Amino acid sequence: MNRACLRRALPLALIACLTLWAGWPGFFELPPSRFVLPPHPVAAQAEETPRLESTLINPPDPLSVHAASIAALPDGRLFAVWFGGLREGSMDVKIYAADNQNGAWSPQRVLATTAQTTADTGRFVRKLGNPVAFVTPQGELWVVYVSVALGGWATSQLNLITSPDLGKSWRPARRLITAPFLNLSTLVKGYPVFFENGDTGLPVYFELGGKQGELLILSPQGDVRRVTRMDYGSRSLQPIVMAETPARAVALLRDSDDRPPHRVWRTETTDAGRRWSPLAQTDLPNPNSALAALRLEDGKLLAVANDVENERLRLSLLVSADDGWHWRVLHRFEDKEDFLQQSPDAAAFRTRLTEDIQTLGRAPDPAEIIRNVERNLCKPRCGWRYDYPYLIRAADGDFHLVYTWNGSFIRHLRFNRAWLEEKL
Amino acid sequence: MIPAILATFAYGLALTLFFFRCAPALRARPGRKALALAAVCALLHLPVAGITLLVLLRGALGDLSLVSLVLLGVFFIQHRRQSIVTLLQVRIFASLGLAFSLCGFGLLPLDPYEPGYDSAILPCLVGGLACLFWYRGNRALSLALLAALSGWRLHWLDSTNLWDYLLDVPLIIAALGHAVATRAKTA
Repeated sequence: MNRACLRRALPLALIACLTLWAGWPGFFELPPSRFVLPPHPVAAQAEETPRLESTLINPPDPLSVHAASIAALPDGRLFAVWFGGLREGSMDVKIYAADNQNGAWSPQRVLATTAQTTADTGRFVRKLGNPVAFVTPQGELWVVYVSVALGGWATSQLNLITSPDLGKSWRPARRLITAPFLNLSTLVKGYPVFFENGDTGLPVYFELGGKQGELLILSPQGDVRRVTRMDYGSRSLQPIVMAETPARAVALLRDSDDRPPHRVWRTETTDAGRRWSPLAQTDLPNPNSALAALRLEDGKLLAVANDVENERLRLSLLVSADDGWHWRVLHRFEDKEDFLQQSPDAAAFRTRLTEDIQTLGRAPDPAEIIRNVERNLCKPRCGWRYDYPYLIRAADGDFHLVYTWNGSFIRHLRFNRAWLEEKL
Repeated sequence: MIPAILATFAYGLALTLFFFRCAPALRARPGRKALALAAVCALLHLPVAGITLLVLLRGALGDLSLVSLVLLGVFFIQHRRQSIVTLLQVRIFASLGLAFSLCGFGLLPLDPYEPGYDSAILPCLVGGLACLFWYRGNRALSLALLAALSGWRLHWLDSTNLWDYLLDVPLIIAALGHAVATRAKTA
């Protein structure tokens, strides 16, 4: 080989070597990691007395709260997060948290602010939104929350904060890069699934142009490994993923289609989330609102949802015995169906609200509750709103449901298997 | 730390080049260019009402890709205005970039972004393109692609997706703008 030829070939060989080095991990495609199935709660069988307890988690300040999630910590505590401020989307919104030990919620504390998120990520943040808290297989408490720099919720981005000591201290927030177009429009709502290799599969959704559910895979270090779309187009949001076997899972999605009938969507995977079947409608009505669901040890699916087509004035507990296709109502946690398609006047609203307050359990002063609810929901006519449920099951077998109560408070309902058995 | 440093240089170069385009008389001396770049980089970190321009740009536009950074660097160190890419290359890039962005909205079943995470095919394609550009004498583009591959492997940006090292929206808009403006001139 003469020198001129070598001079031409050497750079190309170096480029080939660099390419090989850069792409090296991709040449060895690992078998897809499988789902870790949630353990069956130990105390579920021993429970005898049916129990349903109610609490309002947050104080009257801030005025408006929304999008709560709850995690059962390994030390037996519960940890709840939500966002709150003057109103949804205002710049004073912060991420708040509280924990529950022995049945009592601690005072709320601020977990994240726009200023802190801006400082941590080095990127301007104007407002904050949905947070989701969960404990990873490695035993760390993570909170993924939405932030927006410019525009509305469709331009959201995700941030991750992690706590190595279950909420005592937090590492700085990290920005998750999950979308190709300016990293815009990834939001979070659902409880994650976990994988045998320690990865976390977080159900997220995209809503800029198209609207669809996605599964965001995070490594144990919090790096984005992959984002897999569950659908395309603009008909579904906010997936809830429930693993059945190490390879198979069913996902339910909020309906965001303009065309009726408005029903919860369903899809499934048989390769641990790499590919998803085409969406199909279930028989569960959905007024374009979030739902929560989990799988029971007998294979039935349990959901909490607004099972009406056009308003969020009813929140029901439902069960499905056929993997999410058909649903039966077990209980109404909230029901204002008699106000369907009509706005009560202020006097009627207050009368009913005063009655409701009696059922809330531990809660702030009734006058403050009425003040907040009327400020949030009477503009000028009043309306009811119970939405954004989030349902988990703790290691002791108890179910914990949190949801936004009339746009003003986070309500926590705790019920046991015996109470559920009565309804089943 | 590395993403913030790279973002400082990328936005610093972009703003300095924009400044010299507006004031071409100041462009001539290399020392003056370097001084201007240093000044712009410092300005990017100057807090106004508690926030810096760099934080605003990164919040609104994210980090520029390493391809953008290298191309901006090449433009910056050029003594005379020379074309790094041909018009055909710009047009192909603009069309592909536009198609890629539209697919990113999820209205089609195709998701070209996903292979950027863990596939070996995309880095091989990029490496092949780098070889081709080098062989045809377009060293700047080849180096830009190699910088993207290296940066991705070494995780220099916050993203773990190779596409974010290759493309960014301002680069696609610049390519589209150039393609449209050239077409308008020749029409």
